[in-house]
Formats: sequence, structure tokens, C-alpha cells
Amino acid sequence: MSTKRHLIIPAIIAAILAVIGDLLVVFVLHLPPGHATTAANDDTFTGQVFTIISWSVGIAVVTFAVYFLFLSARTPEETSFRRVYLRRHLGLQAAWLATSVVLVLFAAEVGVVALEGQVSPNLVVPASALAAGATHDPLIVQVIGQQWQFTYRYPQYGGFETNQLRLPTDRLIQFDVTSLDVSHSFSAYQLAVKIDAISGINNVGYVYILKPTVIDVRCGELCGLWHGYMTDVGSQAGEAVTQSQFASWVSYAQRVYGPQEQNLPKFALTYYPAPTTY
Amino acid sequence: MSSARKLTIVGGLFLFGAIAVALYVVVWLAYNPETIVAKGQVNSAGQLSTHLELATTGSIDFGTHPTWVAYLIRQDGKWVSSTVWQVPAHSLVHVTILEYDSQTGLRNPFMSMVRGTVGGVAYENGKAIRYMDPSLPAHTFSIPEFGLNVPLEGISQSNYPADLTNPNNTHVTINFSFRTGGPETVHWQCFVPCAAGFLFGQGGPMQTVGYMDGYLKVVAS
Repeated sequence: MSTKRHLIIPAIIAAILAVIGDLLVVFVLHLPPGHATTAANDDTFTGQVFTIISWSVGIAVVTFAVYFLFLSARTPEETSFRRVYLRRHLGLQAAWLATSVVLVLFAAEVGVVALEGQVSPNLVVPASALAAGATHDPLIVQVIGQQWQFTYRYPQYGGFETNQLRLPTDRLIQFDVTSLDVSHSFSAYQLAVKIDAISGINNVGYVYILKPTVIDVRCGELCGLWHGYMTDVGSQAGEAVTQSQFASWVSYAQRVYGPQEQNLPKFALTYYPAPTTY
Repeated sequence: MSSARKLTIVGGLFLFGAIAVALYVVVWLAYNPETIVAKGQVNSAGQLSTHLELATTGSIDFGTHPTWVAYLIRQDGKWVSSTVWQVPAHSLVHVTILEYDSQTGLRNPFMSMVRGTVGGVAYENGKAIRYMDPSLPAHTFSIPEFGLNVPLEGISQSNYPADLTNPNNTHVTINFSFRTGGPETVHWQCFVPCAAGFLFGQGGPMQTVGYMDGYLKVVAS
């Protein structure tokens, strides 16, 4: 039998294991962050692609390594195989290098496309929604970080501020993110959104929510003693609701938080509140 | 001296140093002030309630950092320096705060709104308040996890400093109530940048458990 069988056998084993693992990734594993937004869809898809690639490459490397580890050199045939394939084999080396280059370039392309899709409002709104009448006119939600809580302003509804994040589905949402003190990071897991909150800076991100969902907000930047408690989860969690429910909530919020507007500064993209030093 | 002996000495010293550093870090991380337990009482209607009596002072006047601003809690008639408190789950917590510090003002004016209390209201010297001029608070009592926020109006500079050991001295009395849910540990804090002498007023006592922030342990009764 040809010495090539020592390449074919582990290749077949690796291919079978790779297919099994890939099927598990696609049909059984529920990779985060889910499918609540277009960005979450993109992230989940990207995660699947990269998991499939890394699993396939990884299982091939392990299979070949284990196979060769236990391949004895007792027979002349096996000794010949070792001399031919395990030392210097230009064809195998070229194939390995070419595969690596292709995978790295593919990963870079996927990453760039995914990133572009999350920062461009024109790409965030799905084509099917545009066809159904959705527009690129965003709902602006300002996220204000401070030690140690996020608060939210809705400038298109009078500029009231609230500690509750409520967002509508099926509408482009623009987050304007800033901080009143140290650097924070607005990290909304289910939305697949993570935007740094920096004092004096307005960072912008877009999201299009496809279905109602609970939104767990955490700070993603180590920001002081209570960073670990800077979360909106459980009963304080944010929520994405239908447009009619959102309209009802806005009415409620304007009634509750509206009177406090007289004490708030005029809406701006950044704030330099006094006292800045003490 | 032989190489083996040198190696043993160096290795031993390194091991000793590593253990000392590890112990210091563990002790530092594990340190928390004593937990003050507020016991629950069941009223005639069968409702579980408890009472926290707190005070805020511009300088604690004892301990490691006597000049730091701090919250205190009254236990058995004495003011105690601890910001780790325990209350029963599913209870009504009545809070009384004697505020002896001067006005600083809020970084975020939104925090001058009373939120999360029973009725969405607090009582300042007996008068109901829901909103406050954001330049007036000396501190806030806030539990972000509960959505609770109460601004505490400061006394005027002309009456400062006030001495909380003398109950007749100028202070503001704030009362409010809130309800606890199931067992959990949450943090509470002040949102006023009140740490004098620190950049942005956010260092020192704002970043150290035992002064302007702490834990509220909600435990099954």
C-alpha cells in the first residue's frame, strides 16, 4: 500500500470530525449574542463562521499530530513515509502556507465588512425593512455614563432623562454616548453594541432591533470601585418593545421625568458639568 | 557558600515575598466594614419592616481618614462607622438620614430627582419633596440596582461645620421608605462628587467602602 495512506487516513478522520463539529455549531450550539438586532445577527453569523474555521483547522492539526505521534517506524514503508513527508516536503508546506494566507485574508474581510455594517446607518437597516417602509431617520438616544450608572436622554421627546433604557423595535436607533467623569463603555449584550463613553467625546453607534428583547447593560471599561455593579440587569434591565408599547412608555416617562427637565442642562452631545474639579 | 545554598536562600526569600504579597492582597480584597444588621419587625397588618437611621458628615473625625466625608449608621443609640448594612428580604425599609454636610451640587442634575421610594417621594424636615435644585444636595442616597435615588439637601455654608454629636446642631432630616425584593446584595452610593481634595471629587471616600458607599445585603428573614 502506498505511503500516502498515512496522509489519507488522518485526513478522512479529520474531515469526519470537522463535519460533525460544524453541524453542531450550526444546528445545536446557540452562539451569542443571538438574533435580536441586525448587528447581533452579523455577530452571531461571524462567530459561527470563525468557529467552523477554527474547529476545522484545529481538529485537523490535532488529528494529524496524534496520528503521527503513534505512527511507528517499524516497517520500511512507514520509515519511508517519515522520510518523505515528515521532514521536508515542499508541496505540503506550500499547501499549509496557502491555506493560512487564505484563512487570514478571509477573516480580515469578514471583520471589515461586519464592522462597516455596524457603524453605517445605511447598512444597519435591513433591505426587507426598507422595502416595508422603514426609513433611515433614527431615534436618537443619548447614553450618559457616570460613576456608577448609565442614564439615558431622549432629545426627540423633550429631552427627558431616565435611568430606564427603553427602545422600539423596527426602527433605526442612534446611540450618542458620552461620559460625565471617567471613561466607561456602554455594553448592551443582546444588541451586540459596545460603545466607549468618554468625557467630552460623543461616540455614535447604530442599531436596528428586530424583535422585543430584554437588554442587559453593563459597563465594559474598568471605571472605579463599583465598576462591577454598573449593570442594568434583572429588574432594572433595559427592554426593547414594540413601537406602540414604546409610545406608551414615552408618555409615561414624560409624565414622570418631564418635571425634572427644568433642572437638566439643554441637550448637547457632550457636557462639562460643574464642579469639574473640587 | 555553595551554589545550592545560594539558590536555596534566594528561592526561600522569593517564596516568602510572594506569600507576603499574596496575603496582603487577599486581606485587602477581603476587608469590609462590619455588617450592621437592621432587624425586621412585623406590624399589626403582618407587614415586615425595618428602620435604618443614618447620618452624613463632612468629616468623620476618627479612624484612618478623619477628614473624609462619610455616612454613619446608628446602632443601639451609638453612631457607627460602617456602610455595610443588612435588611430583611420582602420588607419595607424606613430610612431616616440626618444630613450635617454642606451643599456641593450634582454633576448630573438628573440625580436631584427622588426615584424608587414608596410614593416616589421623600420628606425633608417633614416636607414632601420630589425634585430639588441640583445645586443644593450635599449628597444622595442611591441604590442604582433598585432604581432608588434620594437627594439630601446640604446645610448652608454659614452653619457649617455641624457636629452630629450634638442633635441640636443644624442639620436636615430626610425620611423615605423603599421595599426590598428577594435576597441579593446590592451596592449603594452617593452621586454628589463630594470627596474634597480629590480630582473631580470622585476619589478617596467615594472609592472606599466605609465612607460614601457600601453594600446593602438583603437576606431572607
